[in-house]
Amino acid sequence: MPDREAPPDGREGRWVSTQAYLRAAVLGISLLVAALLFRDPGLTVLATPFLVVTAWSLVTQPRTVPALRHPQSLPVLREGEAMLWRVEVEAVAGLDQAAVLLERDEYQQLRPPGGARTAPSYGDDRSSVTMSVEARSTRWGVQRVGRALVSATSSWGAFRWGTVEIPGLVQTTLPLPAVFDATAPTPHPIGLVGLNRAARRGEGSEFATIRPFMAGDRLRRIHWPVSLRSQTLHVVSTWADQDAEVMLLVDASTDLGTSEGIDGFASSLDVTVRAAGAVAEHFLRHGERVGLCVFGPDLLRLAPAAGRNHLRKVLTRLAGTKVGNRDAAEGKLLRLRLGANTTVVMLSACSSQLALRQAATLSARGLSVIVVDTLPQHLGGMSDPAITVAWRIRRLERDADLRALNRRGIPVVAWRGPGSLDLVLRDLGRRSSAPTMARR
Amino acid sequence: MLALLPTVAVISVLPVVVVAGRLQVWMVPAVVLAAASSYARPDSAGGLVALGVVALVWLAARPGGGSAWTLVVALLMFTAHACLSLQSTAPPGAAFDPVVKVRWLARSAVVTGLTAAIYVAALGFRHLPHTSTQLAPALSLALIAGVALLLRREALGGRTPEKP
Repeated sequence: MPDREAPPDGREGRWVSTQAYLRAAVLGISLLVAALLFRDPGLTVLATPFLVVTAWSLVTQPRTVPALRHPQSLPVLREGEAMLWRVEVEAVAGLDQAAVLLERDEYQQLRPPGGARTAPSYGDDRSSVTMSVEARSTRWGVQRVGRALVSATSSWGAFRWGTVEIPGLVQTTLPLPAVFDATAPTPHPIGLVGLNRAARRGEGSEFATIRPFMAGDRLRRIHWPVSLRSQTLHVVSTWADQDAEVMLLVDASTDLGTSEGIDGFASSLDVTVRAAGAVAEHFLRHGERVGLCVFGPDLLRLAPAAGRNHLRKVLTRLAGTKVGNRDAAEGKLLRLRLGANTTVVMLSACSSQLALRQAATLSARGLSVIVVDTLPQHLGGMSDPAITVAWRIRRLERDADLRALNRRGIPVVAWRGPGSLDLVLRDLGRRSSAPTMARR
Repeated sequence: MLALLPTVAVISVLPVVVVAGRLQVWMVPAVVLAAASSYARPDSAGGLVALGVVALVWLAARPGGGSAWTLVVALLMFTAHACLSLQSTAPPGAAFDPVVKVRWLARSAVVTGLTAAIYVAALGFRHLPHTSTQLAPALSLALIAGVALLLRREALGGRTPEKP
């Protein structure tokens, strides 16, 4: 975690006396005066501890304001990962103990649980008092975290420096992609690099056949044993290695259920984002080009590309997903400028008409569209009977909408992790070789 | 545990008053209210009021200057004060480092020892002529000044009073 001394020189705040000091001084002096007035040695005994504490506090009173060092940036985390948030207070003379209280974000787990930590000063042997709080992020997203209050006290808690407020910083938590795998090839491979065997022969590594030499064949492709036996030149032909373009459409127009972070129940947007991450990771690992379009309050687009760096970009974009519904986004969605052979994977809870209309429109244009239903099995926040009944009615409507999509030839599959898309991808692959009619 | 100690220390004065002096009716609600106020807001003037009430109760109970219970009450008041002070140095719920606990215990032992020494000195002065009763406060101040000077010298030497 990169640290830098806080501006201008890391010294802010001042030492002020506390209630503890006031209490000791007032009691000590009052009881001593009373002892003199009433000539009662017993009151002197009562006054003694407070006078000693007052004198001790005055003698060890800190004179210098300590410098404070705190993090200036926070690392990018994955869901469930933790970071060590650390703050250092300069151990000036007289500083006895420092304390910090880190504010907890909604989707953060702190250790210690309250986010409060104290540490003693060891005098001049060490230059600073270091306090660390472990912060674990339990949900993807971009949050402002790390707001904290720091203070330090002198002997007997008589003088306090602070409380100094440390402002929060932006932290990105990337979604932890769900487990996903698919054995079916991606339909419509069109590029030149990838793991999918093309429908045509060309430059590649997978053996297709041995055929007579033709003009243009590379000499290194000549198969000498067969050429010698047949007395004519033969070459090895291969299947072309090709990639495919996959566009992920993420429906962020609604978020159903209550998100409890990675350790609890997931909302529909949680499932959508994690599933999108998983699908992107799968296809990118197989050399495909993956694009991303998130439609929520704003339209976020990421052009199709391949590689591990691109996966990082996809996950970062997904982390910035916000819930919202803006009908104006629909117009932009309809002008996605997707290639003719793009496979569109729409991840949606299928509860917004916008998403369903979008799928129907893209399918009508001849694109291969798969709708992945990301409505979770269990939705939190359904304790009210009236809401339960309303949701049941809404589900009936939703089922009717999904049947209508099926009738249009758009496959709708429920997100179940590994193998969710196998059947659909195979069907689309077979269908792609058949003649289709499309509106342009 | 630490939050309860000041309350327990303040309320413990009542049985001491019963044993050593004369308990009056008003003392019970006064001490209970004082204990409650110190518990509710440790880092406020409530602690000062609570300990002031305890001192008044002890003065009204008239146990006599030489009573050994005076030392007990002094230590109970100091315990309440030290616990409230320690509580106010950290946010609620924060665990204290063992070094801090040992440091505070060592300091409290020093204060307890000095208080006991003043008590023994006060006992000795009771047998002196009446005019010499002012010697106890004077000796108390002299002792405290001596401790302060010692601490100051250590502080100037670049060392903290108790280094673990």
